[in-house]
Amino acid sequence: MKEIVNAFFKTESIVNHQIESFNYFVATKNNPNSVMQQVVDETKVTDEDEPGMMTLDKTKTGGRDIKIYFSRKKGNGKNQSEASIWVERPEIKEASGASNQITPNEARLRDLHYLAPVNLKVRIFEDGVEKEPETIKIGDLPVMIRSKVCTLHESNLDSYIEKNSGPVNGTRKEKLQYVGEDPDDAGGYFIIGGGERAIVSLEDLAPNKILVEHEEKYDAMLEVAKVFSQKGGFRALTSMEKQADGGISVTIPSVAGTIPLVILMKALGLEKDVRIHDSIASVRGMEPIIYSNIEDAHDPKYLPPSGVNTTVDAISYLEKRFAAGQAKEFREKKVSQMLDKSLLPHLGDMPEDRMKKAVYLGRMARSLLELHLGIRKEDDKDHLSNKRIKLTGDLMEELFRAAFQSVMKDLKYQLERTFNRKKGIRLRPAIRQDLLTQKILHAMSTGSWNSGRTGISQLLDRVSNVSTLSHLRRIISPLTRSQPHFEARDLHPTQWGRICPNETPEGQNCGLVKNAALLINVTEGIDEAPVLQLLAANNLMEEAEIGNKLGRVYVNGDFVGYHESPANLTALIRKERRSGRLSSEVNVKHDTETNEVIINCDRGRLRRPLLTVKDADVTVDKETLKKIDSGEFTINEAVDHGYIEWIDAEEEENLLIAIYAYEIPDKCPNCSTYLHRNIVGWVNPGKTEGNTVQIECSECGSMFASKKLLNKDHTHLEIDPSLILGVVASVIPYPEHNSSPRITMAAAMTKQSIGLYASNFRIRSDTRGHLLHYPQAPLVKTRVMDYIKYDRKPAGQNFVVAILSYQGYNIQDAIVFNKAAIERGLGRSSFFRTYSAEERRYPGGQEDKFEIPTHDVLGARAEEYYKNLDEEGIIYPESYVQGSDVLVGKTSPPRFLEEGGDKLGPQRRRESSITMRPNEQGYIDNVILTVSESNSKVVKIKVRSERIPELGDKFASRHGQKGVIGAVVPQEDLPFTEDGIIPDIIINPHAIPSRMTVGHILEMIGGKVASMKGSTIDGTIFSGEPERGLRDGLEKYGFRRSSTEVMYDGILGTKFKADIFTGVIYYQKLHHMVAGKFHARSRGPVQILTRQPTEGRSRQGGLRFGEMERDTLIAHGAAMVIKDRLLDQSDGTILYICGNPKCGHLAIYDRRKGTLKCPVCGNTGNIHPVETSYAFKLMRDELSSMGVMMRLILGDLK
Amino acid sequence: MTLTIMEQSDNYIRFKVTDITPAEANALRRTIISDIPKLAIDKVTFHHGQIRDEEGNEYDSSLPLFDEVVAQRLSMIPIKSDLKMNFKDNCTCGGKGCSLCTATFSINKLGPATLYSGDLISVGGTVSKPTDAEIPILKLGPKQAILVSAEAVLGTAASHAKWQVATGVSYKYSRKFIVQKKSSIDYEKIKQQCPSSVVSESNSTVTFTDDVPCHALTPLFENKECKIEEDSSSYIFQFETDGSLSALDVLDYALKRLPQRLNTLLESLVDSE
Repeated sequence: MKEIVNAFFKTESIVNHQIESFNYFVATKNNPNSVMQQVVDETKVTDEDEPGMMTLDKTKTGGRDIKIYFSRKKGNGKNQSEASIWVERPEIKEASGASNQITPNEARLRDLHYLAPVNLKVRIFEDGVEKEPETIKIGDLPVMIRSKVCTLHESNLDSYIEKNSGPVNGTRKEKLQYVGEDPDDAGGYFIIGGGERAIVSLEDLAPNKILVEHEEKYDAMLEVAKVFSQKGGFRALTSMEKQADGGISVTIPSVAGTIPLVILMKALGLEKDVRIHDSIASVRGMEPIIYSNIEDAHDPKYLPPSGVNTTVDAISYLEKRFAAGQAKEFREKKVSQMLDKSLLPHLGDMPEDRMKKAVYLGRMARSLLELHLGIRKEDDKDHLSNKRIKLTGDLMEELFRAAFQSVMKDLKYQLERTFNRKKGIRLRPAIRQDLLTQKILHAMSTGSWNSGRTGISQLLDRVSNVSTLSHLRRIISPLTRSQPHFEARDLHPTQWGRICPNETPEGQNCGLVKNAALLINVTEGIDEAPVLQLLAANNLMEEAEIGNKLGRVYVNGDFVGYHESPANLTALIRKERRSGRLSSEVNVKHDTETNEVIINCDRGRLRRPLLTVKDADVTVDKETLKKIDSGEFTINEAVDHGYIEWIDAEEEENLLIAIYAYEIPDKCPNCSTYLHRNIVGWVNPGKTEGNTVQIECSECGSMFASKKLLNKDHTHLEIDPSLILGVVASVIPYPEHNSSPRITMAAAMTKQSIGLYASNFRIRSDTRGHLLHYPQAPLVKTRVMDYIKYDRKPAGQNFVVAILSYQGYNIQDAIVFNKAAIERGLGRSSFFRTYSAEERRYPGGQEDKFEIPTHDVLGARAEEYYKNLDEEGIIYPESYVQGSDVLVGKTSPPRFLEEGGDKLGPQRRRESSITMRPNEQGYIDNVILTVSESNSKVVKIKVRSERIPELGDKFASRHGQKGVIGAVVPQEDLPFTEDGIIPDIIINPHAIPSRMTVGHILEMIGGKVASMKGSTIDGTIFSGEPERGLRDGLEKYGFRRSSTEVMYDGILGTKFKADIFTGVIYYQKLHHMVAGKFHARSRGPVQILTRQPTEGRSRQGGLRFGEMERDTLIAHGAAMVIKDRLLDQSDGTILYICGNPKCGHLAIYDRRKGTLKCPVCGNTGNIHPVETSYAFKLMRDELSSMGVMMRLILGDLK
Repeated sequence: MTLTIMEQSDNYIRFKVTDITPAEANALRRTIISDIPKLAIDKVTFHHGQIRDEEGNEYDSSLPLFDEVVAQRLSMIPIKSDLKMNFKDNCTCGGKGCSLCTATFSINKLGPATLYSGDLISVGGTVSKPTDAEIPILKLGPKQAILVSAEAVLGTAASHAKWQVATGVSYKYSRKFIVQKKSSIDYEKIKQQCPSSVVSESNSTVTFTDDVPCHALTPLFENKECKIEEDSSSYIFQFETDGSLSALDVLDYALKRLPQRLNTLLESLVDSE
């Protein structure tokens, strides 16, 4: 079914879920139902105001009644169409005051934020009279690249090009190139301060869903029911537990202790015991427990004299318990706060919602008791149906909600403060735009969201193209990494097709950080109303007797009624959905064990596409597939017609999904090539007869019949099993032949491989970047590579590899490299580092200046350091620079202006040049001059250095086989084959057996065949060229079936006794290179405070002589070596100590007179030098600062 | 020791050497790989800044590829070499560079265009040119131009692969595949596929040699029924050149060079005594 997958990736970007989510969130004029608009409509400025408006305080407006509406107009209880908030195109307000639309690349180069203004249409009613509506800018919003408000979006780009006299008639690719963008860049990230930031999706427990489980508490197993109730931005956990004695109690957030269930239900208005019973009971077995709970409430221990009987009783019990001894008014407020705000907020926060909550609690108790009685199973927290994914849109919503609220609150305050009787209210000066902008920007640039979570927005990984894509498809779990959470880390069956089974980090984040599978969809959430209408029209019953056999129906976790035939109802909903009458966002499950119908249409469900199957055949036919392939028929249309369905983890529990529709024979009966799924096509989908299907061999074009694997029980068919992997794991050929941990490792390493990360690399200013000089498309590829355009952004090269040991230089995963191959360009790369400098302005009118510092500048270097700079102080392109060379000559104003101005003569400017890092060198690649937002000069200097493979550089194949270069050997010393082939690298045979990376071996054979055949070999998981076909290929091109070859020793000239396995395999250069790591120090800088050597390579630091190293010297008794390391080569200092036995203070050395004197006792003669560590002196000084005097009393050695 | 040339063209040679040891065969192979001199570009000077054409139009000297990449590409271009030239270090000019040891080229190309090896223009005394004029080096965009002078000197592949003349240099032991006629091997098929010169037949056996490469023989390596006899005193060599020198010149030079080197070794041993 490659037509379907092709069509997916033809129309949609690989990070479509991100872009779609942002588009759904962002408000535009033509999308009045955006999430932003909903937030605006829901925002309550004060508790008293209704949502979407504010009323100014009459006492501050001179008694006038002023109401300000910012929500959409309402009519007939529904929101009307026109949007009240919308986002414009990204722009920048220059220091000159002009606003210009900007492109992402301009934002990157100028260190700008990629922001678009947010406008709000406000309606003002003064004393009931509506004034002319005003549109005000309330702030700026970061814009996702390639979203519909981005400059790069289809028509936006066209109008931008037109405005800026670009190639109006060019193709889209040319237009993107004109604005400095990589045409293949996927977008889906933001630009904050010139840096690209991705918002990583969050996996969260599903809100508003009752989850029951066993919990161990007080040494007993208890049943617990939990609900994460969520409304707007507010989230509260309500839990209910059944104690060992049968008592059921409820925990409410922000309330201490537990409350008996029955009392709480009574407090909520469910007064009658019968109704309490009815709302809980479902089977007879649970009645004793319910009765005992109801009885218990009448116990006078709760409320003398006769226990809790009525709602009034219950409320006074709660008042007594939680606000005892306070004023009546306050007690009431406390309890209503508890019942309305804290308890189950998703059901409402008004007193009229209390009854709903009571019924809901009854339902929780029912689930709890069903668990207790064994009717219901424990809910699986790791089941994807109990999880929701929070994408960019949801996370931005959180930010926007908080920011918008504070802007509106501030607006109200400002309007009241500045109210002028004559002029009335003036909105424009009263609004604080920066409040919204800064709140959002702060979260986006630090990654810490309001909820206290950190690491939500991350610097976009640009090591290679796949690492970027993978980063944008990452899903992280909020569980803490320090706790074990073994179950949460395990691969769950429901992750099939939704989350990549292999791509996860190793170590503490294993299984918590996940990556999406190739084809996924995250629901945006739709209105429940159409679903409820459909249910109502199909015999849904609101009430039923206890112990009935009816099925219960739930919509988004809420109980909506009973139905006598759940199976039929489920079938009906599916039929409606497949006919396009019901939204494809609706998913339904019939739980046969509890006889429940679970319908979901909420946000954040991770879904995967499946082909629908009817009567042992797919519903889609060849003609439709052709139309889908040609783009005549979109995927969405196919979904509306019911050919394809998006299935969530809940619904999948109901389905029987066939993996393959038909069997394929080993060989084509006509041309006898070995068949694999990728070269076989299904001729008659949707039109099969009997137990066979017609299939076609694309090699020879012949058609033949094959056994059908679909049967009447199947409900769906997998589109392609290879879609279960994520973007990175899909790049690995033959992974099904490898051991699974190796795939995980290979996926991790692929993300570190360097290649062509962006085609606009020359005009980008990444602070660090790697570029492979001759990236190659792999000879053994996978079909997924076509979808992610791997061939256009490769990250590796095809190496000729021999597997044998070589002089011990490839022991322990080292790799022996051919020196000639390196000289011809193998594995060469460039490293870029961008330095930037700005002419900053300081308060008081002073500013930095780019210039060559003159002699009178404080700290100026010798002239030769500035020789590569032009008269403006900026370095010439292509000049060679190395350690600590000056790139930009810069002077800054004196630091302390006021201080002692006349005493020291005129203040001198300071030298503050930008220099190269001490241990790097290279050529100046690019010098970019521009201005910052505040109109000060900014210069960005990109330095490039060539990285030729050298001893210690790290390389890896796509099978988790990593290694460092152990030797670079002249070609004539290396073994050679009878054809004169000298391998590029030699890897050790010990790398293979224990690791079981058979895929590595297959890829080597595949590469060998491909290089002779002149076309690539398909190594796609489950459907690639089979081993037999590869071996036949070897034979065809004159190799042995074993892929071994006779080899001769390059040094001795004799033939090796063993035949050597050789092949061609794709190797990746990883960004860990010796050139960026090697470090040594003899003398160097010390820390100011402790005078000990600095730490770290970037500070030319020392290599730590640690405690364990010290222990070895103690063991050896090498006292002088210890003294050398710990004192002489570290922070040894000479202290002059007053020898007066009553003094023992530090003496002072008077440099002018050359004399020593104790400042405390005045002693000048009896002073002795003592060698100590500076750390000791530091301690002495710190103690004396606390008033503790340390005296050093000297004595002779005995 | 006898040397028989079995196949020869300008850039390819296959020959048989008999009565030598593996060490001797290997010494010859190693010499052919790494001790044959040829011309390769060793120094490239780029012009940075504006470049003007005759009409005064300005071009930018910044290239789509980095200078060091362009230089590396230039160095790999094979240039027709003259073995009468001197190594720069041993030249009469004393290593300063003269027409006896250095071939100078210039490149001047205005974009948009593709720069080919044929655009290397020889300047000065010795006239050398790349063996192939159509090796693409660089694509220039509009308003881009390259102005470069490059010096080629003699060197050997021992110091850098750009001075490598011969590629695919290999030898193999002379070997015989002895197939019993009564075995299950389809020797008739192999006979059809291989040239008749490699086949000899007796009453009970068919014997093949792989003196002439033939794919049909490869499966015999993995066939237990076939007996393989190898002779480690007889070798079949083959190699090809990049065109800077002819294959025969390379062999000729190598055969002369080998005793020279051995003499150097011998002399140094005698001297030290």
